Amino acid sequence: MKILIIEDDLETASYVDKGLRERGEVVDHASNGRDGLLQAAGGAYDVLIVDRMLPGLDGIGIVKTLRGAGVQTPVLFLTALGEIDDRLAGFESGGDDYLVKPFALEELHARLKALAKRSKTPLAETTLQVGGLQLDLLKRQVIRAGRVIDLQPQELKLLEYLMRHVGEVVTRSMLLEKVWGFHFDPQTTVVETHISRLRGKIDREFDSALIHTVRGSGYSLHEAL
Amino acid sequence: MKPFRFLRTSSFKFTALYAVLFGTSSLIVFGILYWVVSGALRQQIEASVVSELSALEKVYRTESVEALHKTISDRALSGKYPDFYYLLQNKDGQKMAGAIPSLKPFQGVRDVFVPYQDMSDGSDMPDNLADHAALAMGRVLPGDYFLVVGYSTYRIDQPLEIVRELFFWVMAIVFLLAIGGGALLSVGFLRRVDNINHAVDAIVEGSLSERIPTSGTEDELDRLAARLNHMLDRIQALMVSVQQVSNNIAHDLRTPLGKMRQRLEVARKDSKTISTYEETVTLAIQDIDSILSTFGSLLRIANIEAKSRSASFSTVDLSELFQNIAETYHPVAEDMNKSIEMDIAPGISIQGDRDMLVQMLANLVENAIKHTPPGTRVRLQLHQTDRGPVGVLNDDGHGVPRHEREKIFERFYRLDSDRGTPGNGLGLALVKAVTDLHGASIRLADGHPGAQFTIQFRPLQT
Repeated sequence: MKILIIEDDLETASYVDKGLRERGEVVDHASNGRDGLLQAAGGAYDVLIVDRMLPGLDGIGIVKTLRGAGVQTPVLFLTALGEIDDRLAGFESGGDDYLVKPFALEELHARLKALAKRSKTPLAETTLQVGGLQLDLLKRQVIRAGRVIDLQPQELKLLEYLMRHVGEVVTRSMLLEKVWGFHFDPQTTVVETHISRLRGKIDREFDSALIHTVRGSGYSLHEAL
Repeated sequence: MKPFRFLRTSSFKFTALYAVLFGTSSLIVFGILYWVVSGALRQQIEASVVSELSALEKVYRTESVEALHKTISDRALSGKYPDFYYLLQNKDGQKMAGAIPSLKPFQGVRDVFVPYQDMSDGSDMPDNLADHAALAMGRVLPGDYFLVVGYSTYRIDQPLEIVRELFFWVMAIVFLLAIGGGALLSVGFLRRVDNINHAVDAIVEGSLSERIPTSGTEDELDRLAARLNHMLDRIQALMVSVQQVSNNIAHDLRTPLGKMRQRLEVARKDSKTISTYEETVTLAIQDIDSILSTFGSLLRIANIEAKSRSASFSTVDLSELFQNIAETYHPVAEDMNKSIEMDIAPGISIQGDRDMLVQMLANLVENAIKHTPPGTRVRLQLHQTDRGPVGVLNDDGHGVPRHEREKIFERFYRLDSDRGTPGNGLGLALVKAVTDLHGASIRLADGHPGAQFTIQFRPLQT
């Protein structure tokens, strides 16, 4: 992935830069809104990381200008702690995801990958398939190895999200936001419990597991390697 | 302090304005009265003049001009007609009898002047009134004799004079009373305003427990003072709670920070391998995350409290939201050996912020499944009522002691029985902030057994 980070705080920028390079990504850095806008418009980036608060031209202004100019590169906003309105304003300006500072690098990396991939594959298909597992979105029906599996509505939503991100790492907070609409950290084991139920239904009675735990990061659905 | 400060008070200005208005309207009323009374009196006099004139004309017609001359002289001498004056002229305009000086003949009514020197006919008029005006009516008799009968307007002027004088004195007294009363009222008013100002000054200086004195009359100043005092009570309570919150933050942060410091110190002293360092760092990051989560919650509550209603509101399907939360937590509760039942009426919507409402309900449900003993049954209900949708969450756990039911919504408040369980004591404070933002009310009552939270939402306005 080729990533541009527009961030005025050099410490955060170098933390992200170093972390992503270690994970094999190509990273450019712009330290103010004007430079960032020029670089983003010119370079072919897979994804942009934009700080919400920048001196001069702020994050929302950059993304609005880019979208106005027809640049559709996915954008992940970085926002300050507890700023609930930032998320809304970010999405309205054309941002695709957001992350509250401070954040873990695994979380950022997983989200960037999901964003970069989403921009290439449209969400049009109605049947998702991974190995012998098949999810028919119109019939709301799940079949593995020819056997129909009965899932609860929330388990179905969870499975759909995992299947759409097959092979990727999805973090706990990504699942909370995208599957449950929770933009906060619950005090109980919501994700773990539902993952465990889903595993019990689609993995337990079959030869190979599809849902894998990625230590320290989250989960990933893919065929056994 | 200036001595005539009361002149600038609003109560004095009101009184003065009222006195002017009252004076003007009295003047108009008096004018009309004066006009009507004087008109009526004139009419009365005219009537007696007409009848006297007719009586004299009759004497002339039935007898002679000499008889008329004699009658006039007799009447003037007799003193029985003190207010009547007469004039009889021949066709040459020569005066034959009466006190009125000779006039050019006229018909109808007019005012004539009766001089003093013509009162020699023995009339007993008071001296000061001898030289005065009369209302007169003239008539030309056959043979070109000219007869005039007049009546002293003294009979009109006297009562009108009394009315004028009376009015003058009444107005003078009214104005004096108004100004005196206004001044008195204003001085009293000023004294009370000064009291309020002193109290406010004291509060500004820092003695927040100071209150504005009331006179006990329950007038508008008292009501204002009571309102201000109520506001001060509220401000004081908020100040105390702010103080408490900062104390709690300090306390809540000191514990994980202290633990973290201890761990790091031990690691520096004792750690021999990379892996033990790593372990310590991992734990330290966990501690920091818990502190950040507390800060995040606090900021989020503050953010919600600072938001204005309807800024980000849209129509939210409350039934679907309740259903989703119940389904989300059903397996979580089951894993903790508890159960969630639901009784949710379909198709109920409100105006609101969906994300906040999700977090509110999630916090409430988590609160119910976290702080109850195993085997507890939690029940989530949603119904439509006349006053709007009502959500009820009850459990058959231990419940909340009566004296703690209000405090449970405060930041960092934790029940004595929950001190051991993890949590930051901010969950229900956020619930309260979200309900407040939505104009909804939340109440905690005894569920017989257990706790029962009731949320009264506002009806959906279309």
